[in-house]
Amino acid sequence: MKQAEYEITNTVEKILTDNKVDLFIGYEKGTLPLRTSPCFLSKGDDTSRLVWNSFCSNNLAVYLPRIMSTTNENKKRKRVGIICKGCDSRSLVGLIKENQIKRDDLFIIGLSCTGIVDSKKVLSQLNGNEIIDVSEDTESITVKLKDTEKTFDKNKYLYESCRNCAYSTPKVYDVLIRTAKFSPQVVIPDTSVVKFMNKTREERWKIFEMEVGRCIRCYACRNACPNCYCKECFAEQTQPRWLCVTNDLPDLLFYHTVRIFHQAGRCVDCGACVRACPMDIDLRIFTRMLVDEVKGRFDYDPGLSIEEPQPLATFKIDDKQEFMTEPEVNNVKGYKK
Amino acid sequence: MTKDKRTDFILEKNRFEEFIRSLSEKYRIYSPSYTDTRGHFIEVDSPDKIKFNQTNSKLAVKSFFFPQVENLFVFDAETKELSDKENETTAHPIQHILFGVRPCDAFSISLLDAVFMKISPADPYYIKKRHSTMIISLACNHPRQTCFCTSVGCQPDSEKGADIIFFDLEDRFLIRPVTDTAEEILNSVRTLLGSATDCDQEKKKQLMLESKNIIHKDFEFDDLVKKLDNFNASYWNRIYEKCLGCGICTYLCPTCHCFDIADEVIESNGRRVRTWDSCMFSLFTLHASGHNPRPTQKERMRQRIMHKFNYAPKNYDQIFCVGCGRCIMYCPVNLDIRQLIKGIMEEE
Amino acid sequence: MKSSDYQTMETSGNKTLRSSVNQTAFEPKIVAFLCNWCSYAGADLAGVSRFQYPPNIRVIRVPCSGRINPLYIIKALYSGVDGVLVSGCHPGDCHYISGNYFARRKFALLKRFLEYLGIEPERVQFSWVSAAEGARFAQIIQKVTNDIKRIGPFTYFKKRINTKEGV
Repeated sequence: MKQAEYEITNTVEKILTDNKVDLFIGYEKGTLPLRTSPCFLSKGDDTSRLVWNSFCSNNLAVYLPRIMSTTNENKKRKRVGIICKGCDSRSLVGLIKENQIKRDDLFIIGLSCTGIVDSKKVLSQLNGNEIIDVSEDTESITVKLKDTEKTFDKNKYLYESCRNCAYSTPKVYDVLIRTAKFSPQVVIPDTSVVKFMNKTREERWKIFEMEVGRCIRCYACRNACPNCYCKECFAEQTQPRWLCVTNDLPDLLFYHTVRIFHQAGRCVDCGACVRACPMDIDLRIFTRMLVDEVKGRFDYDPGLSIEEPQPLATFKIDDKQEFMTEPEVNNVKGYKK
Repeated sequence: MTKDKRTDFILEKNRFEEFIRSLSEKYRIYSPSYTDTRGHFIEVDSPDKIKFNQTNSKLAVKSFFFPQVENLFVFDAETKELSDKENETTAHPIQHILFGVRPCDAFSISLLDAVFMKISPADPYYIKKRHSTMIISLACNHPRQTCFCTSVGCQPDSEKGADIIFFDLEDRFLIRPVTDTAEEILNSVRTLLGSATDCDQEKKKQLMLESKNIIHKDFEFDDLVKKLDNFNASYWNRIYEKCLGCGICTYLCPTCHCFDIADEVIESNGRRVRTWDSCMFSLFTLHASGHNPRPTQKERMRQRIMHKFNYAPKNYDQIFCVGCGRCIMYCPVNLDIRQLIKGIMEEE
Repeated sequence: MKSSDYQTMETSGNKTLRSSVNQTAFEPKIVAFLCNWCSYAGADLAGVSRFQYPPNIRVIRVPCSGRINPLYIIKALYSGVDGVLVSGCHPGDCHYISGNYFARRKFALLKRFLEYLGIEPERVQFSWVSAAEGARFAQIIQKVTNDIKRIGPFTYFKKRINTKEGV
């Protein structure tokens, strides 16, 4: 980790001094244990603030549409450098494809990620005791509490999205930094979708209601998602007014169903929505279904290739249409064969 | 009875169940929920529903008096009948007890009182709930790392906003009535209570001192108001960058009180509903003309800090922050308001 | 004033009328999004040819099936309809060349997604009906209406005005 941090800091120092970028986005130490915070650096700022560790959970691509928008106030072209894990780089590819950011204005430092630790999961094991200090090595993290220390096996405490991640090394980058003692992670295939599908229809709906029913409409899931860059979200539109701003159950169901569906074919399963949610709603049970469906139906993995068109922006003449309704014949009055 | 003459009581913890049971005969008791449920409060129909040894709930107590969704009135769109029963009664006897509210949350209610009750026109919906509820707060023995109440004028043993405050002295509670209504209610369970001795008071003082020492005093607020008068300072250009613009900090904040009003009509049923809104949302100040006076996150972040730490002290003589730390704990990007304020104070 | 009961989380999931209720009393409301050039013309032909089909559909004419935003379908369910039908031109015959191909992909995902969440597969249906297929249109409407009558009213998503205050 230290080696990677050193390389990152050096690279950033260089690109800022050489004016290759106007702004650099990375991670810095957070004020809470097991957390980091996005860090915005310009020329002349202290690049030693940058860190790289197993707590760099935010998807930094979310800031790019608003920073690099060509309609931004000062109308100046902003070149941005950014640190990317595998998932973040896939988000970037998606944004480039959708013309929200330009590849030429980006300087991407890719990092081969070994997974991010789920801070909430670790905290839940501590019985409310507060963490005084944290240290980590390649296999585990150790937290120091007031009276004791506890060690956690990293593999068991990574985010679910990290355990299922098959593309932990960015495919699009300008500089690739491999973390020290990098070893390819064992990818645990995701079974949550299959497990959910095996439940009865009533059970599935109940679970959906239970999860989404906790929502307080804070929109953190939407704002943390790099794909949600609409200037006016359907959830806040008043002309036409699609849904109400309340937290009545039908409104919550509407909001989540549509927001998740808006990610169809675009969601890279970075997990930013789940991490942002203050009510711990497991959105991935629902988002993963669309990721799997798009893969199965259209053989498309989002975020791997800039040239490949989005699945909903293209078509094949022989797309499967087994879901279409066909009539039951001979049940129409007045029809003479 | 004046405040000086009020006596403190002792309630042995083994009599706590009786205490709750006895109160629940006359009043409905609620407690903030510590688990993620659809409701923010649980009704305490049996004493074991009350959880101790918790630091603070995720959602603030404000939603008891200022719910996230509230009907202002309902109407029938066809017959044009309108019903707003809320405004009908003016007498509000105590019906509910909110138990286990932390001093910072109770303090926040006193701030919301200034907004909803002291300014004309007063909010009848808020008043009805406020006057019919008694707040029993529970002083903090173990503040969290994210607590900073002492920096904003609150204390782990603050009595402001509460009717009764409980101090946890390990095997017993020290009970201090703060308001007159509290005295009446405590009199109804007088037989369960003992008198507090000097020894009890000493123990309470010691626990509170330890508690205050845990909390870092990060900054003094006196200079901040003046510093923030500089609306065009350059630090506004950098502070906002990480902010995603979601509503977590505002919705979880005990003092944030912005709201939106909308009409909903389905077939002939209609209602006018007040819902929480957040100044962090991009469309918060969007005008019908299309102009948005706070177009970027910079203006919105500036507005939030100014409202809490500059405008509110000028309007209400209070800082609208109680140091509960929820915004720090739940912010998805770990934007720490303490760091922000420190940064502002350090700038020229 | 009508009083509407607020749907609590515990009861909204399973409030579908089963055969224990008099089924002939339930007349579903079905919204049909029909593409102007093929399906709407097919519906017209069915009418002119006097083919009879159930009167439960409310038709919304759109220029092309590809115009339909999944938001409309979900909004229809939120507004309280019991079923949605989207009908367009047969693949290869779209008046706008390829609109229905994009629609086909969109609706495949939407239908599978709604089924996954737990909404009955019969609620939201898609079909191809050409301008010459009056009989086929009538058959499809008959099928959709029968399906919805069988599974009962849709109450999961329906927005009701909560006239009671909540804590």
